[in-house]
Amino acid sequence: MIGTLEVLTPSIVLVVFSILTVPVIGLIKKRGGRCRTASLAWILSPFFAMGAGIFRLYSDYYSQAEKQPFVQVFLVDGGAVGLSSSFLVDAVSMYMAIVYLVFGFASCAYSFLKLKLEGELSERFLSLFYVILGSTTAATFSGDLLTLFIFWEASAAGSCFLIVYGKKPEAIEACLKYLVMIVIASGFIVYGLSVIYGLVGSLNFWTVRDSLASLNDKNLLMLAFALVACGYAIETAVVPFHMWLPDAYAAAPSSSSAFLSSIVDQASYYVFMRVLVHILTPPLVLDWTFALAVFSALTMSAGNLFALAQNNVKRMICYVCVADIGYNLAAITSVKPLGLLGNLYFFFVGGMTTALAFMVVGILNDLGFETIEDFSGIGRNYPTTSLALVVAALSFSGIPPLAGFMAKYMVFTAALEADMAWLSVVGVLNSVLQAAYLIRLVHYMYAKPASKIRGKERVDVLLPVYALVALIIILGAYPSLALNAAYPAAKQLELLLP
Amino acid sequence: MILELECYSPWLVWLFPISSSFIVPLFGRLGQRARDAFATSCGLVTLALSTSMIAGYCGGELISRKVEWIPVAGIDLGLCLDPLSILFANLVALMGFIVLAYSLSYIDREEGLSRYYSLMLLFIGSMIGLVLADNFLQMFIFWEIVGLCSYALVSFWYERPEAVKAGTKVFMMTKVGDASLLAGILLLYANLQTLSYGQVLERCGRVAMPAFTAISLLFLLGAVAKSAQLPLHTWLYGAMEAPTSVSCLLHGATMVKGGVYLIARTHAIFSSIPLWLNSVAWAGAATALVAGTLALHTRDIKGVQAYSTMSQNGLMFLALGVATSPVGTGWFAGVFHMVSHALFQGLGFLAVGCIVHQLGTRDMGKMGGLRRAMPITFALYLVATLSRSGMPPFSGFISKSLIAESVMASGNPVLTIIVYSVSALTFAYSYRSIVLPFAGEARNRLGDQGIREAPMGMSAPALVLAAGCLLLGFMGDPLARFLGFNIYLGAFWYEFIALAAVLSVGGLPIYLLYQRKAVWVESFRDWALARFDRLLREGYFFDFVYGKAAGAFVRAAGFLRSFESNFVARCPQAVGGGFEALAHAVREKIEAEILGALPSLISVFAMKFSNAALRGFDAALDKLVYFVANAALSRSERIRRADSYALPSYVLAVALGLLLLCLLLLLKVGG
Repeated sequence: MIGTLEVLTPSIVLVVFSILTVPVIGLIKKRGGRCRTASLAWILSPFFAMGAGIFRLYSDYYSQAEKQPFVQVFLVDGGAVGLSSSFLVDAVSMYMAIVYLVFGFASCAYSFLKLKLEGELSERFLSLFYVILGSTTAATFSGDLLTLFIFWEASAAGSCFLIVYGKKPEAIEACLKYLVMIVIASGFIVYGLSVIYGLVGSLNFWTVRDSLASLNDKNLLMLAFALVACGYAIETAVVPFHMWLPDAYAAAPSSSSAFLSSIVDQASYYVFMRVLVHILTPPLVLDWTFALAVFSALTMSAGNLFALAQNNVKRMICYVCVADIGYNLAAITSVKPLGLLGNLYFFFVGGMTTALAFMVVGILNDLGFETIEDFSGIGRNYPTTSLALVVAALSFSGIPPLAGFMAKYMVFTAALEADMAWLSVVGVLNSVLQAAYLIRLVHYMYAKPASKIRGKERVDVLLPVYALVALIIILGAYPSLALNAAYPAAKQLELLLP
Repeated sequence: MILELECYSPWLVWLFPISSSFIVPLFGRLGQRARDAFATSCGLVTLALSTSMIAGYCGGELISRKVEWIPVAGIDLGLCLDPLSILFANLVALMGFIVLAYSLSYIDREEGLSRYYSLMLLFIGSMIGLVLADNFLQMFIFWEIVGLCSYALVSFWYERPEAVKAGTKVFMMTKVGDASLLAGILLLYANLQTLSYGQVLERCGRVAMPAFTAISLLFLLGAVAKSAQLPLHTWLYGAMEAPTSVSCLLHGATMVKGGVYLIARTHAIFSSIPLWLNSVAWAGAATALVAGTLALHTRDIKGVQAYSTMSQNGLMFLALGVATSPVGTGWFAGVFHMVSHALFQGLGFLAVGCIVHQLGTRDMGKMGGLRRAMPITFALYLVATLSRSGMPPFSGFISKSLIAESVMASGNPVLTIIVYSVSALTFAYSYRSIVLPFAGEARNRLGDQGIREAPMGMSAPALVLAAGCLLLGFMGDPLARFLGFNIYLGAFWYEFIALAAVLSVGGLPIYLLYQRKAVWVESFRDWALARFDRLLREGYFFDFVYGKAAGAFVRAAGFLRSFESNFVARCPQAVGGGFEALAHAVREKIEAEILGALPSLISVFAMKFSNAALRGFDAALDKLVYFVANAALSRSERIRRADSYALPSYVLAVALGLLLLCLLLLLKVGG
């Protein structure tokens, strides 16, 4: 039997660690000596604890998944109370929790190695890191719109501090923009939720779904949908709501960008998908697929065009993130098991690749390479670092032996399944565009005469980077590794479709 | 044991080279010799595996084998063993081994050889994987890997900017074709829910005609880009920056045949579409002609090989295009010419490699009299060239006659004329490329001292190919039987005579003139071509146009950047200004025409209001930003004022997005 405590264990563990991190690391720093090993042990232990929590939940859930695929856990017993906070465990949330664990581990290891080298390993940074990861995980398991909103806003608010962490003027400005945008977004969401509550009298996923399906007059629902979708679109950075993202991620320290792009960004797609696919299931409740497809095409094209126009490499990667959101939306438009499968796979691969790109660009930024001209010839001076960036670039542009290809292929087939051949053609054309500017980057890195060497190549930071590279190559050759994990989630969607 | 090998060799034949390509760098640690020996022996094992498939394959039936790859998405890894794929796999394995053996002496002293050998093995494995794949997705994956290898190998000497530039061009141009192919594959899947060859062939009648035509043309564009046909052909000349062994394997013998293979493979599916057949034939014919003239113009000896490859690939396309069914003579002629071209073009590249290796230049104007200094190379090059121009005992003669025959049989006079003129053209440029480097006296710019014959390690592999060219001339009938054709080549004797006649009538004067007065003929050619000089020098302006298009794109990107930095930042001001201007215009108009107090008042009010509203909005957001910022930044950092203008435009964009969302929803749900 799964209880509230079990569902929340991973998040609680992270929050507890987050509170303890500040004094403990302070203590370790004071003692000096074997500071590094001890702090590494402390820093990575939350992930093992979280992993154990998730594993327990996983085995408990799958032991009874046949009988009860969607497990709801209410904070107040019985679930009769309309506004009782509730949690939902199903194959999708299990999958996402595992994905967060992997990304969290990788980006934490990276931040540790990178910040350590700069001699400013900060307990506050890590503390924030854990708290955001915890609330994102909790948001994944939430079973009603309000709980989802609360945990989601908590992680968004935490992200602000990660963006501003470097205390650069641009970062502060970007953070403020982000703050204003998410405030506007939450305004929209709360307004939309209140309309839904007025219509239905509850915010629980299943109650909302069932009552909305039997609703006759859909005008108010449309208004509510527009508001909620607009709010989440701002946080997901769908074009034209995307403008804060390049500012924020480009200005943030690279360890923050890697973390945010792989976890908070993926989580926001997840929220989008959960609300749209599982609650507002078309055509049962509301037929939003065409509207979403238009936004998807817009996001892909605008993201790639702006990326093409960038001179600053980090900002270019930010726009690649925006384009990735477009591909994700394309997968969401097909409300079919295959589409969901593609979508979940794309979460994983997209997050991995953006995290990898931000990590490498961060290492190079620290050496003083910022613009694409600065990147001239770094392939020769920093061969190992550059190779990882090339792998990321090729995976982004969907070159087959790498994971990016199968992810894109599945997204395009998903769009075809939704009878939107035009969308997949737009997607294919976009991938040519993507190849064009990424190959331009590679061209600069290898073909242009080298600018001067600034500092040695760091090898130890590359450990998590190359772990991701290996994962991208392995998943490219054998995608079933991740797809098998996502398959039960896709399978469960059939239960919800008419 | 043998039985087991037969079961596994179709898998091992591509898995083995691909996996050993990852091991090569490890051997590189052991030492150069060990690595080279390892790579070459991998090539040999691959060749052995692929020949064992011929024995294992019996009967003309298509054998399909499958294992699950991504079961949850219903994607299988499959093998399609039929005469075409086995023939091609053997060709790749043979050429791969020969080129690897050749590389031992050819690029001995270079840096980064581990990279070279592992990319070559990766290429060989993926190319075999491409031809053995039994569904379009799998084929596409290998298709892209092969393209990637081509990109990496063309820019192998990455210290040379022109090599990297050429590599980028190769990548982008073939990427256009790849995208088109992927779009075609996706549309095929959307219509048929399958991608395996057999099932597509069974079900392809179900696709509606316009969609089917579109799919077939998308496939054709993919093939055109891969095989360097018009209009996506210009990359092949640039690809000559690669080491010559790479040019031989990828850009002469195997990879550029990928498009021909795709056409031959999909012929059974698309041959019911006349537009597709015509496009294939005309793309081929146009390329054969255009590339032939360019080959006559260029002074770059590798360039001659590149253009001749394009031109001969064009002939293959033409033959496949005039075949109305996959059992027509044209299909066989195309495939046969593909094999014979792979052999003689491979030989041509290897011989050119010997020359470039010994002389260090590719400019034919600087060569001369090499006949005496490099007799073996001369003999090899002669065999390649005679075979290419279609001289009787060699394979090129038979395959070209068959092409001419099938084009004649199609009854299109223009295409027939093109085939024969291309044959004459081939003879002319081939002969020119013999005379300039080999005949006459050494042109002294290089100095004729110290030019020695290429080492035996380079000539020996080439000799094998030369023997192959000769042998294949007599292998037409067995090959036809292997491919399942009931053709007796002797029946085409009149064609052979016709081709021989064309060659002797067109070729003999050229031969005699060149033999006697090479310099004079060259100057005559220069004079004759001078009026087309610009056209030819610019390669019919294809690159010029593409360059312009790319330039326009880059300018558009620059505009986008300025849009992002300026316009977005000042959007609210612009909107406010727009309102103001509008209000002004309205007021002036109204004042001038009506002179009424009321309209003027209203328009002034509108103007004031729009201004004030926007200013207020602006100021409020700015205030908010500064308030929070000042609170946060009690210490030092400045905020650059200019950028914070951007925030109102973000909010404006949000409003626009919301509007769009509502409109779309109304359109779909409300309507």
